[in-house]
Amino acid sequence: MQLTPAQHDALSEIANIGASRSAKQLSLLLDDEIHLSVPEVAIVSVQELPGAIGVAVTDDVACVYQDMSGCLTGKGRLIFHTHESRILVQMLVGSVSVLSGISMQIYEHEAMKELGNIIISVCISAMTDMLGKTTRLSIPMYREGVFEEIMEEDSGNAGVLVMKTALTAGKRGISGALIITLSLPDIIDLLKSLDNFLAGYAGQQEKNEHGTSHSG
Amino acid sequence: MQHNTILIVDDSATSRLLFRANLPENFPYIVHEADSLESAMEKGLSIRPEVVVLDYNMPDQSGVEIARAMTKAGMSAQLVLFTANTQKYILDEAAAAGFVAVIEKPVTREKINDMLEKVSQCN
Repeated sequence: MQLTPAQHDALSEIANIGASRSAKQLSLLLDDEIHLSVPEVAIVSVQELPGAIGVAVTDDVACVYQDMSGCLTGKGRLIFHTHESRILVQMLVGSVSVLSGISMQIYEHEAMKELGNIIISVCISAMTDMLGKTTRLSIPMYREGVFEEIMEEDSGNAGVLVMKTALTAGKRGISGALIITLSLPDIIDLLKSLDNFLAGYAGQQEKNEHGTSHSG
Repeated sequence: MQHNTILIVDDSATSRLLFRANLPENFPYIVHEADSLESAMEKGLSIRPEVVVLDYNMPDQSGVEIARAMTKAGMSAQLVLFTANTQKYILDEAAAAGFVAVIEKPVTREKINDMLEKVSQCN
């Protein structure tokens, strides 16, 4: 599904705000500077998704996900290659004594859910707040596995909103993608909301400019 | 009649639209726009704005880097950071580069009014 230039720009700006806010939260949590790239956004089919986020269907990935309900119904997923998720967890937990192999794994999963929850909820909130929508998010869940298997339940979904960014923390760079799978009616509704959002502000700008001399 | 001018530098057309749409009544500046280092330098040297509002997170250079380039080229505008990424290291970097105020995204009329107050205090 092709975004118009205006829709793409608006979604990019919304993604930028969400990613920036997430970065700030992460920097407080990790007590470190978080540098992030300008997010790339797109709406793609589930089949196009691997290419869009730089993942092969057979890659091992780590995924934190939250179900969305309300005005937008679907799933928000934060996806990293498994080896990159380990870097993120290490930044959070630092050097922690390993009690046992099982305990460490659970601890890592909890850490990923915490990090994922921050990024997913902040980014989705940025979008829904700016578009005047209300969406409820479930508690975060964590899963590791082959990308194809992780996305299997969404193979029938119409589209995926992709917000991809690369972040660097503590001189270590990791690249992750926030993907939001939505039904076709929800995608259409989202794009209509974007158009209304832009039209509303364009109208306000025109009102401002007729009120006084602002333009240049 | 001489008007003061403000230049907003942001690669996002949406962001620039939101800024214009949230201008308070009787905003004391004429607004010009730029979306890159190149257009910022061109407009900056041409209109010599009193205030430059710069987005931080841009594709090729950060807003702080663009501000430094503008200052080096002889522009003496008051600098305002416009960003959602208000991590301490970014605010410190901006302060060190001479920025006098920050507008945290998403922009509101109140935040622009706060910026005007800070800019007038620095005059």
